[in-house]
Amino acid sequence: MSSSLLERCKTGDEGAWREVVSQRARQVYRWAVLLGLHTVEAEDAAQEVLLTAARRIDSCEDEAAMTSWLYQITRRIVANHRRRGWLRRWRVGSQAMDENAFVHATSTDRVYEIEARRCLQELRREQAEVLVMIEIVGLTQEECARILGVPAGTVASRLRRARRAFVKRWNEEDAKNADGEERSKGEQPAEP
Amino acid sequence: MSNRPSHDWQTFREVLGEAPPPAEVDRRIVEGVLERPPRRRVGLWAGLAVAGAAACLLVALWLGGILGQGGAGEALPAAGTEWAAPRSSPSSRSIGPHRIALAPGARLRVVGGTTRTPELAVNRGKVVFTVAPLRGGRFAVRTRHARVTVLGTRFSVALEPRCTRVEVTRGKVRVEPRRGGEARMLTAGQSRSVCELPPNRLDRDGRSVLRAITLTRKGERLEQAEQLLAEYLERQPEGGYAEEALYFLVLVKERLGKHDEAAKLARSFLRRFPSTSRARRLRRWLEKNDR
Repeated sequence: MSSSLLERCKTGDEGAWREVVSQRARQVYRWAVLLGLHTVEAEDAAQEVLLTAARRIDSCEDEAAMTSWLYQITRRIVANHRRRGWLRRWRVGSQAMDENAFVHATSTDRVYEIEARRCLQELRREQAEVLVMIEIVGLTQEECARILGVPAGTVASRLRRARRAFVKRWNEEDAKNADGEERSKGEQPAEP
Repeated sequence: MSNRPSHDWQTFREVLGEAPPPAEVDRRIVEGVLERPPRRRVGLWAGLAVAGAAACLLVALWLGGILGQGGAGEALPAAGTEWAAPRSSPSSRSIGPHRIALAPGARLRVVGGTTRTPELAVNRGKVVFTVAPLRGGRFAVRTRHARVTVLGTRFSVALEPRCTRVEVTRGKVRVEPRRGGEARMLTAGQSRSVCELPPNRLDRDGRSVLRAITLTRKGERLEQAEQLLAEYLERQPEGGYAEEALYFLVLVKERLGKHDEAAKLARSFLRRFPSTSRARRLRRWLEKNDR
C-alpha cells in the first residue's frame, strides 16, 4: 500500500479504500485461519477486521506500520471470535479442520499446508502465534514484542521453542505414517 | 500419507504465507466489506459518560424516593379531609406514589400519617388502593370494623352496613378486627370480611344467604334458594357474602339442571375469587364436565 493510497483512504476516497480491501482481504483471512479459526469464522473475522480498519484508518501512521497495525486488529478480533464461539463449540462440538481453506498450484503444497496447519494447531497458543507473526506475517521480533507486550527476549525464546515443537510434531507425524505404511503392508490379506 | 513433503521453514513461509483463499471466499469478503458502511463505534469514554449519567439518574431517583415525601401524586392533606366520589361515577386520587380509586358514592377520610405512609379511613363504599413499595412505615386503612395495614400491594376495602370486606389483588395485607379478634395476613386472591355482629346475630343479608345455603345443602326448595341468592347478588354484588352466594348459586343452578348458567356463573366466580378453595373445586368441576 503506497502512502498516497493511505492518505487517500484517510481523506475518504472510496476508490482507494476499495483497493486496500482487495489487496488485504486474503491476507487477513489467511491470518485468521492460521490463528485457529474455522474458515467460516475466518471469513466473518476478515470482514470485521477490514471494517474496523476503515473506522480507525486515522490511527495508521504509515505504510511500514500498516501490516503490523492490521495484524493487531486481526489478533483482537480473532480472540473475540474465539471467546464468542464457545457456545457453538459446546453445542456442535469442535469442527474438523477445513481442508479447502486455501488454493494451491500443486497437490504437494496442499498436503504440506494441511499438515502444517495441523501441527500449528497442536502447538501452545502463544507459540503458534509467535510462529505466525514471525514466519507468516513477517514481523520483526521487536514488533512482535510490542504487540504482545512482552520483552524481545521472551519472543525469541518462544520462537525457538515453537520451532522446535513444530518440527517435533512434524517428525512424529512422519514416523507415524511410515509405521502405518509398514503395518499395512504386513497386514495385507493373502490372495485366495 | 505417503507423499508427505518434508518440512523446512522456507516452504512453510511460501506455502502458508502466500496461498490465496478460494476465489469465492475472497469475493465474499471484499463484497461484504464494501457493502457495509463502517459504523462509528461509541468511544469508551463516551460509553462511560452515558453509563455514569444513567447511574446518577438512578441514584437521584432512589434518593428522591427515600427522602422525598412522595412521588408524582399530591401531598397528603390535613387530617380530617374527606374525599367523596359522586354517586354516579368513580373517582381517583394520588397521594405521593400511591393510587386510590373510589367507587361511586365512596367516602375516604384522611386520619394522619405522611404522604408515603398515610392512615386513611373508609367511611362509605368501596375503595381500591394501589400502594407503592414502602421502605419502613405502613400504609394503613381503617373502617369502623377493621384496620388494614400494608407494605406495598393492591387491595380494596369495601364498607358495608355491617361488615368490611377486604380483597387483595397483589402483595400481602394484614387485616385486624378493631373490636378484638385475630389479625390475619391475606395474600393475593384472598379476601376477608370483618363484621361487627357475632355470627349468631347475622344481618338481614347474612340471614337470607345462610337460609339459601341451608336449603341448597339439604336439596330442598331449590327455586327459593336460587331466588334468595340471586336477589342478594343483585342487591350487593360486592357484598360481604358475595363469595358464598355466588358459589352456592352455581350449585343450585346445576342441581336445577341449568347447566349453562351454572358454568357461566362458575367462570365468573373464578375470575372474581381465583385462589380460594371453592375456586379450585369449581375449576375441577368445570374440567370434569368439559365446560
